[in-house]
Amino acid sequence: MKIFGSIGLGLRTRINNLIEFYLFMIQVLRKVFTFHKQKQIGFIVLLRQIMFTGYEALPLIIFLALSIGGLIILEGNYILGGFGQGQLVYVILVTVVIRELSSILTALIVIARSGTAISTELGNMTINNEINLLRSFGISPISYLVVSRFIGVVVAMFLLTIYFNLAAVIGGWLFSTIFYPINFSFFMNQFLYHLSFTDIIIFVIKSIVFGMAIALISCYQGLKVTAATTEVPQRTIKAAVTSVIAVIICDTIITILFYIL
Amino acid sequence: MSVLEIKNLVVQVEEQKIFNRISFGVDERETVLIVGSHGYYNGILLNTIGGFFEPAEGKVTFEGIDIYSKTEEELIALRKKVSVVFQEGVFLANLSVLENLLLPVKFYRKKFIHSKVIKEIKDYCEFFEVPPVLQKRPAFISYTSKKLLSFIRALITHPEMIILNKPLFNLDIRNQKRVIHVLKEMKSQGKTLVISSNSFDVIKALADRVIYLEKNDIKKIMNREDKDFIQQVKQLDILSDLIGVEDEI
Repeated sequence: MKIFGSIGLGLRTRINNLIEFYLFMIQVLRKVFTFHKQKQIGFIVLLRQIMFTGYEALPLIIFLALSIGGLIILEGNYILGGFGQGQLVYVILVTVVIRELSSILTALIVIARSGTAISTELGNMTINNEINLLRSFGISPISYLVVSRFIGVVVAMFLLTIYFNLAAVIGGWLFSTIFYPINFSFFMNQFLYHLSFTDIIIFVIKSIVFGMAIALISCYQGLKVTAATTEVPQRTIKAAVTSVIAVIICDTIITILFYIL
Repeated sequence: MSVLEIKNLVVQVEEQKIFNRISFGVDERETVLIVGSHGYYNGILLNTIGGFFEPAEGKVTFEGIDIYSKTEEELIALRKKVSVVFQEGVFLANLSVLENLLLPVKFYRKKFIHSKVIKEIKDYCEFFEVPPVLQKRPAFISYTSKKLLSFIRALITHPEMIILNKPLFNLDIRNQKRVIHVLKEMKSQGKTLVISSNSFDVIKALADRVIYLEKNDIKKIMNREDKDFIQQVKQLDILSDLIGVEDEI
């Protein structure tokens, strides 16, 4: 009976946590639309977030994208060229990189750099009484800290995914020129010929949804810290793991929906 | 009429219930000193009054509004009237000291004269002899400077009520006198003060009423009008300074 009792308690806690997260999400989304009213104090936080999440992650994203794009073209050319299907590398570049990898890999980097940083920062702010300080001014921690980080991460995630795609395409061309000299305009024409409007819509939607999920989960876990500094790394790990799971679930749902619709 | 009212307050910290349904009010323009045998209870009481710790039972009302029944947005108007100064002088770590000081002013007043506020800050810094740290990050400044600067941050918002937790703690005698001087000035301007302090100097200089918390209950309330007010206060064996600077204040 004790086992059933503890299972029941565990289930109840999970359901309560889900409800709590849902309410948190609603609160944040509602305040996103009133952010302009508080931009005077929240704008600097927003800029700093875009700078940290977007700009400072750029070299890593470009490095990764150049390699991924290049390797896919290289492997694709090697395998498909043997079957006389060299044209298919562009299809692979679009399907694998633009539709899938660009947003997933960018999300993983954003989780590793910014998601963990947000969770740690908000956790430490709670411990240091900084959240109560804001509340004492009448400044909502959700508006000042969460909404600005939310918008910052979503914008940065969207921009980084675009940069990832551009770098991956350039990487693909660069690698292909090493082994199979090819004109850039010809490469781009072929790539754009295989790129549809749906592909663009898919990566745009994915990057925005992933950004929202990462920001919400990281902020939520950070603010869940209550009293001890030992909670901060625990919550940060939870934020990272939950964000990865959420990103993969969202990716699957979005991809399935696009194939169904 | 009480501007702040605490009714049948019970606070729960983890499994432990704190405060035995305590009740008291603070009138407009009144200065109430909360002295206690344990800083822990005083801190929780101030956090509850400040709106940071929801009570398990009872109410905290400010101008008749139950502060825990309202959303943060609905409380903004009330927050503008009340400044809370934490014991440890809390600052946002990723802003400079000056940005920290300006944060509530920017939030409260959409249009404010920057130079006027800066002058006010500089005047207070000069008065309290705060070193030139306004452009520094809070991590680089001393505990004493943080405490004084957080007091200055509260002052420049010109609140109607100020809630202070141990305002003299960790300050040297000179700055203790200065803080008491400024608080006396606020009192003479008709501001409402709620202060948690076991300092006799503060009580003698400012208190209209002293609420003595023994552990988690109100043991005694002493009024300035009482004939033997000072004697009653002196009998409290929890005061931090019986022979202090009061004669010079």
